Amino acid sequence: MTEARRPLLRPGLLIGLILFAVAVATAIIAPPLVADAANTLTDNRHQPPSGGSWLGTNAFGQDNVARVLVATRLTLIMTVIASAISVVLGVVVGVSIWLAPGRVREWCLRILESAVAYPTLITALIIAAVLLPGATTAVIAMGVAGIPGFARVTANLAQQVSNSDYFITARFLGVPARRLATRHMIPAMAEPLLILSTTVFATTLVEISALSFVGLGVQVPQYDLGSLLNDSLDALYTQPIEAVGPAIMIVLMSVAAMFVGDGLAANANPRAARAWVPRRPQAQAAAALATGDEALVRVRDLRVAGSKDGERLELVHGIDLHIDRAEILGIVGESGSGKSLTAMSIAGLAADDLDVQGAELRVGTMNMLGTPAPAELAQTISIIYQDPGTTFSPSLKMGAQLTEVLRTHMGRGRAEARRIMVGALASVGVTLPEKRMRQYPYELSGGMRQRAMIASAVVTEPALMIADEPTTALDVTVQVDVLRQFRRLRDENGTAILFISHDIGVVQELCDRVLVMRRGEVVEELRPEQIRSREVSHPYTRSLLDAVPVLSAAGAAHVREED
Amino acid sequence: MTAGTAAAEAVGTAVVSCRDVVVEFGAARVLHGVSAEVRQGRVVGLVGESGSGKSTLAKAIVGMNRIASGELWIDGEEVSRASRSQRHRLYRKVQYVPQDPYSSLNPRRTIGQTLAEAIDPVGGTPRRHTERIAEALEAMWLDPSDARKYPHEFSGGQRQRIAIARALLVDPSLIVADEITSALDVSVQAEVIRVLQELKQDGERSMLFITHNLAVAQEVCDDVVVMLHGEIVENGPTERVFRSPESEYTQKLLDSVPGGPGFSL
Amino acid sequence: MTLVNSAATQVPHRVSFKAPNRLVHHPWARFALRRGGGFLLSFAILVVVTFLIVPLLPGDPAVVAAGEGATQEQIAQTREALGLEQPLLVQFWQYLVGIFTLDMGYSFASGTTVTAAVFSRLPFTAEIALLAVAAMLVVSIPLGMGVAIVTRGGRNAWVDHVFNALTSLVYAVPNYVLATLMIYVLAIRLGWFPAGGAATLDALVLPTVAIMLGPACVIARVVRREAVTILEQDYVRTARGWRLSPWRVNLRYVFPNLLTTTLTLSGLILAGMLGGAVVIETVFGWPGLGKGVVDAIIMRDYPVIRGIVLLLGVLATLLIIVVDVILAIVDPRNLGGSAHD
Repeated sequence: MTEARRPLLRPGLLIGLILFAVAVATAIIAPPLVADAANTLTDNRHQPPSGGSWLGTNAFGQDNVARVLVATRLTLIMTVIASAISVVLGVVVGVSIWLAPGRVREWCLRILESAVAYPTLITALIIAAVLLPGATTAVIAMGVAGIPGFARVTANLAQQVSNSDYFITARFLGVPARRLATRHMIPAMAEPLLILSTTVFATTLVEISALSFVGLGVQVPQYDLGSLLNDSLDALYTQPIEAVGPAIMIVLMSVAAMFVGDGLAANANPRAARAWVPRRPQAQAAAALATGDEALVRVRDLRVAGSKDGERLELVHGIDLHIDRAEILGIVGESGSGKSLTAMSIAGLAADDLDVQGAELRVGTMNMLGTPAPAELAQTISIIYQDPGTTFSPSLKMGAQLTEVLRTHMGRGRAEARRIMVGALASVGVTLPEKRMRQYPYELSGGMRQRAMIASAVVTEPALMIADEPTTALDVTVQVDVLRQFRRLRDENGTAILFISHDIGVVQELCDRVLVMRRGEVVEELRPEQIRSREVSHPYTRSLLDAVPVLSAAGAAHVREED
Repeated sequence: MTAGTAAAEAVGTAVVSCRDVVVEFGAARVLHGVSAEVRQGRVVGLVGESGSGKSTLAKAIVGMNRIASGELWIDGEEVSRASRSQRHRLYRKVQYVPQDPYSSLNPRRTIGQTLAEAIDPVGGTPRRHTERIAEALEAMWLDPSDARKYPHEFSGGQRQRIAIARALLVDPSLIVADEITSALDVSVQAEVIRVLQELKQDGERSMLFITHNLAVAQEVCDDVVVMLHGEIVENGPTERVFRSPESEYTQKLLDSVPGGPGFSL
Repeated sequence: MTLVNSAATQVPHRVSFKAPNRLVHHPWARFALRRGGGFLLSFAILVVVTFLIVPLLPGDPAVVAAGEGATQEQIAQTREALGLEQPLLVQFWQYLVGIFTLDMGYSFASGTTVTAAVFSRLPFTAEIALLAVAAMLVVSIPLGMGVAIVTRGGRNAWVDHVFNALTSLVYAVPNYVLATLMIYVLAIRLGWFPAGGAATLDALVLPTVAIMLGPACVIARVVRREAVTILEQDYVRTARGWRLSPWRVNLRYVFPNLLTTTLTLSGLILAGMLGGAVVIETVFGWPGLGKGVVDAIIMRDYPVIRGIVLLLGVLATLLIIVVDVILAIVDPRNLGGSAHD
């Protein structure tokens, strides 16, 4: 549901639009009314602010407020035309580049890349140097200087859209190029391009005024906000109030454009807002530790809550479970069943925006609802995650990451930690362990990385290992091997394992006991034999088992009507 | 899909066949001369692990990957020898259904618009093709009124069925389904599998079904092709391949499926 | 802020030069070849564009360049100085040779050689730019990271609002408005700093602050956005699973992974700062390249315009290459350039 549009006017967007409307209205209405006060030379030079002229007068006795209002019109007109040049030609160039044949496109993109690296203001200066300063020159210069940037963004966007599945599908359906562009390409680019246009407007406004400010834009007798500000610079010692008008007006319009852009961007990305659920204080959680409980892990009435649209939303509804020492407990369920939330709550690693409650949440002697000592936590619980492609930091070598726990929590020196780790890697079947330690994660295959993860989990000789879909991202032939490592670990070290999976086949093979979860509740507890023989009682478990195709030895025994 | 050697006798009924197809990405050769075919009315499973080249082959068949050398025959015509316009017509006969149901439908267009485009890419509108769109949706267990909705109003399984409906509306000779059940939860996966099985009933639809899940392949396919490192290591009728595989690798694959008969830890 | 979603901050789609494959194997060699190729292309474009400034002048370039009210004699002198009596290709050739022999003629305004005029200004701009870059990174990276950490998971929403509002507002104020304000308050009223010139060391402060404040806001927002993404990454969860202290997690697992995007964008923004220097140097009367080019345009000193524009362009291009090199050192995957390599 992420694409759901919420066409609401956020406060920022509203403020931006109002500010902008005010500026435009000023530019349209004011100049005819105040032209006299703005342009007529009088003897009231350098007058301080008064009732008649709020910002006083300038060196020629002209009213400063009136001049700002008149200047706003010119600045606005110049900015609108220049931005239009940048945007329209930018889109044209960008789309043409994308349409061009491969070779040409590559070269054009390279040239564009070089052009973009070049500051727009300096590009504008070059054009100003050729065409000689003036309002028209300023517009052309800023407009042209903005083209490469917009063209590149357009080309990139076009590239992104043309790589999307739906676009490729439409293309292969034989949809003609024109229709592809009007029905698929342009609608997809319209929104981001509109947002970017507000940025271009803001930048152009600031830079076109900068051009006038340094004396290379609008020339006397014309004046815009930039040249007014420049005039005020000369009078900064004697009549500082003169700078206030143009400064405020430029900032006002720039802020307006920014708010509009921000608002549009926020509307386009509704995911942005997320509220935090404050954690409730734990009432005597520590006192809940029962004595004489043999189980390694004891969970009673575990509740995990998040928030949705500002409302508290309970995701796990009071779960009870235990794990004995050296037991492999499986939790199986579909997405949204709360199996991972349960596991991470037991690990004490629930996401920041979740609220974890419970009558008891104990691992060994640690109360996981409180704040156990990090060193003890690290040595008691090891965690293995799903995707070995993302579980290691890409910018650190494997060795540095794998030895973290040994060095931080177990007081081993660098060399000793490495030695221990190399041994552990070898024991879980990582080839060339010495070399792997010196490699970056991306240099290892997925299977190797997952074995390394297991090795790092093993070296602390933990009482509990929590594995959250540890083999889901692996190929089946690699999966077997990794599963064997888990089994061996339990058999040899007596490590208890909490194994989370969506794959009933996997938990059936590996686990001693299996919990079936659905929508935040445990619906049934099973022995692996029950899964194999399909002796299950709960209808959900039954439907789940029926849904999973099972490999049969007798060839395709079921579903075979023909022949 | 039977081996390339049997191609000669089966030529009349093969909807798509490839001979010695080589695909290269830059300097890397990812398909090393693959020969295979799909015959009329058969559902052929293309199985293998990551990097086996199964998706590469599928994309080569629908024209998304360039074939460096070898022949691709669609409905008895060789693609590389066809003229530009003919090639367009040929590729329209093989319809590709991508893996990710969330990106395969344009989020800004209604289901009706998307489906109308499949019927008539040049000027199709939902109004002009109301009946065929309704039919197609019903065949995929969806409601005709769904045509007015947008993709985000549907679940992953429903979207996948809409994508299949779109492919069917083109009335293709072959549907190439690339891991279409892999991103789905098991119960949703079951619903897609049932749709596919129903589709098979009349025995007229030919399909190339790419999957890494052997159990799903066994459930859905008539024939199975096993790939490894860009080559075909085994092919034949599903029943035979799963009962007595000829290749060691196929046996290893089968024994690796948890819950399967040959699995042991 | 709009800018964070904008052209300026999108990580550019790198178009790389394909090194002649298989001949060059070492990743650094291929990297050098690719970036070197990119630099040569940029340089070639720059040379052509700066050359064209004079021939493209409307009407008779010599008349325009000599300025209004110039005598026939002056026009003839200008024509000769710019080599305009020769065919275009010969002019270009001479221009090219001039660039490589560092002999680009004489300034119309001061009579010194262009090379001297340009290189005497370079240290002033370099001084400000480097100082501004350093100040910018020192301010924006800790700020962005800090805000990301403090507001993670939606807590302390007010910090988020204040940060957004402040950075938006500061960014929306053009650097020259800021400069004007600072001159009035800090120089004229309070007298803490000189209002302009480059006579004393403290004259550096105001221009530097004026140039870096806007870009610092953009970078701080980029850093924050990146840090938020990284804090949700699996490897940060892994590090927390190892129960490392928050400091260690942030310094070893969050910070290095921020750098790629941050520095890539910084490179572009730094190049943009050279544009800012043009305005700021003019405001403060700072004798750098920026003020030089503005003065030269006003005085139609075309040899100097060409020289400075060329140098600024080379600097902008080099900056981006330097950033690429730093990136490659930080994270060797960046050596590869684009993904399809």
